[in-house]
Formats: sequence, C-alpha cells, structure tokens
Amino acid sequence: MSATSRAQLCFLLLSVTALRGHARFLDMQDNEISPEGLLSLLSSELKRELPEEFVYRRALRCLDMVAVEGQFTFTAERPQLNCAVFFIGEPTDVISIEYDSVNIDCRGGDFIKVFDGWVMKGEKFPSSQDHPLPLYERYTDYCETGVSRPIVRSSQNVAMLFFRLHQSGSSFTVTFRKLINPFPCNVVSQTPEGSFTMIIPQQHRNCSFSIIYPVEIQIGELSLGQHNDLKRSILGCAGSGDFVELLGGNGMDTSKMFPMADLCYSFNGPAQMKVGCDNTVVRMVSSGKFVNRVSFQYRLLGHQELQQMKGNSVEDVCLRA
Amino acid sequence: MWLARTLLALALLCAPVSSLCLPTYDPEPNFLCNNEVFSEANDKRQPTNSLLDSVNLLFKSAHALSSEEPRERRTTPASKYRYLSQTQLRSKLYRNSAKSDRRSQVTLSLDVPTNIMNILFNIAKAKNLRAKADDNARLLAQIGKRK
Repeated sequence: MSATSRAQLCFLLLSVTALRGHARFLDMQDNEISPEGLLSLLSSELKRELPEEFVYRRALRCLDMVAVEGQFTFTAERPQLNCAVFFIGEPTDVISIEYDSVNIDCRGGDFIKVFDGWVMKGEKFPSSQDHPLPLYERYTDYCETGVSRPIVRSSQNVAMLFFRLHQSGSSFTVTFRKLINPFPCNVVSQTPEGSFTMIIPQQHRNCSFSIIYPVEIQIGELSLGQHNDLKRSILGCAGSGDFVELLGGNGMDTSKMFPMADLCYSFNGPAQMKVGCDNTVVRMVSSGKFVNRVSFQYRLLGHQELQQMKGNSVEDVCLRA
Repeated sequence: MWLARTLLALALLCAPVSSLCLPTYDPEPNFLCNNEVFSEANDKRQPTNSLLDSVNLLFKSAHALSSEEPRERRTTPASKYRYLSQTQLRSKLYRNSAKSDRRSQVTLSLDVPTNIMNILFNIAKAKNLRAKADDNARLLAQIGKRK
C-alpha cells in the first residue's frame, strides 16, 4: 500500500468515526492516530458494549429533579404517598420517559402519573392558555395506559412524574431521554443566565419562556410581522393579535402573573427591564398571520440590586425597575 | 323528639343552681331531674354557679339523653338496622373513592414553593456534572481496556 493510499484510508476512517459521534475517543489517546486504533473503535464488540454500559443510573428520591439522561429507579422502603420527580431538558429538548420495569399495586391505590409540564401549588406551566392539550390529556396514568403505552413524551422541555406507593418494596424504573424539539415554544430555563430566541412561524399559539429567578431581561430584537413599527400604539397592545409581554410572579401559571411590560411594535436595539420575582416570563402571543420573533438575554439580579429595588418600590407586587 | 327537647330544656334551666331543681309529685321523680348528673358534680366538690360547670352539666345531660337512644334502637327490627348500616357504609366508601379519583386526576399537584426550584436546579446541576465525570471515567477505562 502506498503512502498516499494509506493516508486516504486513515482520513476515510477518521471521517466515518466522526460521523458516528465517536470522535471524542481520539482526544483521549496520546495524540497518536493509527489504523489499528481506528479499527478498534468500529468493532462490533465495542459498539455493542457502549450504549448499555455508559447509561447513567441512579436512585430517585421522593422529591427529585432530573436534568441528565439515564435510567432512574425508585424503591420504597416505607409507604411513600406524596412523591414527585421534576424532569427538565435544554430549551430545544422535549422529554421522553419510558417505563422499563414497574412493580406497584394499581388496585391497592398505587399510581404513577406523568404530567406534560410542571404543576406546583395547583399552578401549571405551560398554563391552560398556552398548552395545546386540555388538562385531562396532560396526565398520563401508568395504571391505565402504561402497558400499551410505555413511552410518554412531553410537549416542552419539562415534565413531571407523580407517584404513590403504599407497600414497602414497591418500585419502578424509568429511562429519561431528551429529544430534539426543532420549534421550541414553552420553555423553562435551567439557569439564571442565558439567551434565547423565540420564533413562532405563522402559528396561532402562545409561547412562554420561564426563568425561575429574579432577573434582568434585555431584549435585543423584536420582530412582529404586522407593519406597526412606524408608530407606537397609544393604547398599548389592546387589539393587537401579535405582541410580547413580560410577566412576573411567584408561581408557575403565566395566566396568574402580573404584567410588567407589553411590547407590540418591532424594534432593534437593547431594551432592558429588571423583574424581582421568583418567576420571570417572556411570553409571545401570535395571531398566526405572521412570523414573530424575539431575541433576549437574561442575567440573575444580585442581592444588592434586589435590595435597591425593594427600597425604591412602593408596591407589594414583585419588584420591577 | 319532643321528650328529648323537653328534657334538654329542663336540664338547661336546672343547670345554674341545684336549688332550682324542685321535687314534684310525679310518680317518676327522675323524669324532670337526673340525679346522677348532679351527684357526680357534687362528688367533685366544684361550685355549681360557674359557667364551666354549667357547660359540663349541659354536656353530661346531653350525654345522659343520648344514652337513652340504645333503648329506642332495640325496638328497631334487626334486619332494618343492618340494611341501613350497610347502605350508609357503601355510600361513604363510594363517595370517598370517587372524590379520590377526581382529585388525583385533575388536581394532582405538589405543594412546594416556587423558589425552592432554585435549590433543585443546583442539585440537578451537581448531579449532572457528577454524571459526566463518571461517564468520562468509564470512557477512559474502556479505552485502556481496549489497548
């Protein structure tokens, strides 16, 4: 084999390895790429071993939050009557929960229910106004459909699993996966800082981006399809079918939050606002006639900023500035 | 019921002071006053003019009246009694079951303050980092094994 052919073969194998997503293995070696090393990565034995061995596994607690893919097991050491697990992914993810094994007594009152979203203190995210499904369809009960429907998929990057186990020794195992959501609509941010662009492409729906922190939001660009950027509306967004609103509140349900600001005209350039609430939401309402888009950044408000806002505020509503 | 109300009213009237409990010429002297109630009060040597004692006496009188009910129930046919008991029991269970089903279906929620989510986020982040570290360690071990 000539040197040129050898180099071409190595390049080909390297490309195939990269396409299969195994490129990171090369970084682990001693900066030496050899045909034998590349071939070993493609061996069937290694490929069979990787998926199962590298699955992240851990036990669940009665109250838990899961943000990493893997297999999670809960085993009751005593009756557990009020338990819940929060699942969350990246903004562009939807959540898949698969029942791997379940050992519960459905007739004895045990249950495992998956909620399409988060619900706390009776408040839901997404709210009923923003979610495409009615409330009763957002609950999936393992005891009713678990056998015929072992995989439950969420509509956004958050989901919740409620369970009740009356007997010691009852258990269940679920596999949590994140799937790509090409058109994210309703999102909960995992972090108090970040940036996001919300696009609603000619769909008649409402979308909310929730940040469960007091933050400063800086909107960089707002593009509403309707041509009302020549003058500002005197009556705010009344009568407008396409607009963006900033909401603040101490719960999850956007329909119960306080409106902090309404934006119903397109603009470029920074427009910032501080919201000192437990939950800060950027919500877009779309009529479905236009392509609407909003880009924004957010950062956590510091303790001193919150104190200053508190000192300047005369209202009990969440602090704003 | 008329008899029970009459006895309750008389007990209320007689509660303040024992001296108002006058003997009558009725052949059944216990009909107007329940001596057992007053005898218990006297045994405790408590003043009978206080409001608390009046409440206690009223309670004891009511209890004495309720103790008469078993005698009335004994006159009820046994089969009817069992039938009523079973009906009430079944209804109660059904109502609770239905209520539980409805509550679990539409109002299942977690009573946790919203701001606790920050703590859960941090815990999840730490677990995520730990998971990635474990994953990398397994990768290194696997590569070492292959060599």
